[in-house]
Amino acid sequence: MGCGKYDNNLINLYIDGELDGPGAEEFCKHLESCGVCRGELKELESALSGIKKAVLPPAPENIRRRVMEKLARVRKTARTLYLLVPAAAAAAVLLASYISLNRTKPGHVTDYVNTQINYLYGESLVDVYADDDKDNTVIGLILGGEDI
Amino acid sequence: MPVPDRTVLDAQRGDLEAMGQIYSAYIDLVWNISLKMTLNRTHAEEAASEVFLRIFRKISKFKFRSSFKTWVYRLTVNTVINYIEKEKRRKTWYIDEERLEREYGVPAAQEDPAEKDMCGKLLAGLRQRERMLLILREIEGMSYCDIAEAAGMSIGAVKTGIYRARESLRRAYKSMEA
Repeated sequence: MGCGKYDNNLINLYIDGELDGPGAEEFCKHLESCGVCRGELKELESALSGIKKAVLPPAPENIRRRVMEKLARVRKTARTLYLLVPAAAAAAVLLASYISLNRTKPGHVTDYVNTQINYLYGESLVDVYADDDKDNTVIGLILGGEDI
Repeated sequence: MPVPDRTVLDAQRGDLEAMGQIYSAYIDLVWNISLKMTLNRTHAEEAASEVFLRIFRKISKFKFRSSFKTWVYRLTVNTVINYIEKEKRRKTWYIDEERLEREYGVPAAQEDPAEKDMCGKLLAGLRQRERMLLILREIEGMSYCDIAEAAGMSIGAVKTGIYRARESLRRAYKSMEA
């Protein structure tokens, strides 16, 4: 942590070459006489050269392959979407038009549902209450009183 | 070597060949940072892939206000730090001492064996932010100003961070020597 006269920040500035003028001269003179600062400077320089020295293995080729394959895939999906989006939009417009046209006939859907319900009553449920032997449970109603 | 603006513009338009050129120009930079930050080959490969995918996903947002290289540095720093954080949350994060030795071993026969593997061990002893700052300053040789831009920090914070990182590094070196 420095010798007391100078702290390590000066050593940092010295390493970065940011110490200039009379301050630099004074610090250089101090380094000649101060074993603590000289020792710390040497340790730091050796440590920094230690992390610079490593020879790294080259980047594996599979990174390029992985990246380029993914890009090609994304591009293909984007193209598909590019084609699908107008089609989906057209379908949505058609559906919206159909719904809005049908809304102009308020009784249309209700009439249709009522017809279907009446049909069911007529075919399947009409005799349920007349015959005590028949199954009156929900399952029975659904099965329409058929023997099982 | 920096890529011409023309190549960046082509990549912004989705030209795969231009993207390939950008990849070739910056793979060493991205790989060095990824490997030295993660200290693990498998993690470095995944992190480097994520960096490039992010670069190409965001390239249309690059407005030529800074140099493209600084922009690549910024994305690399952020993506690799995010990758490490994500892996730590998933608890798949580890620094394998034996692999570290194999992967960081200085291969040249004339090297002092005592110096073999020093880089990996010294870097492994640092905090993540300290490691990143030292890699950018000491290995990539960036200016404080460029580091500030790449790391999204003020110049003052970068200087303080590098000062502290150097102190940690010096202490780690001293304890290795002892």
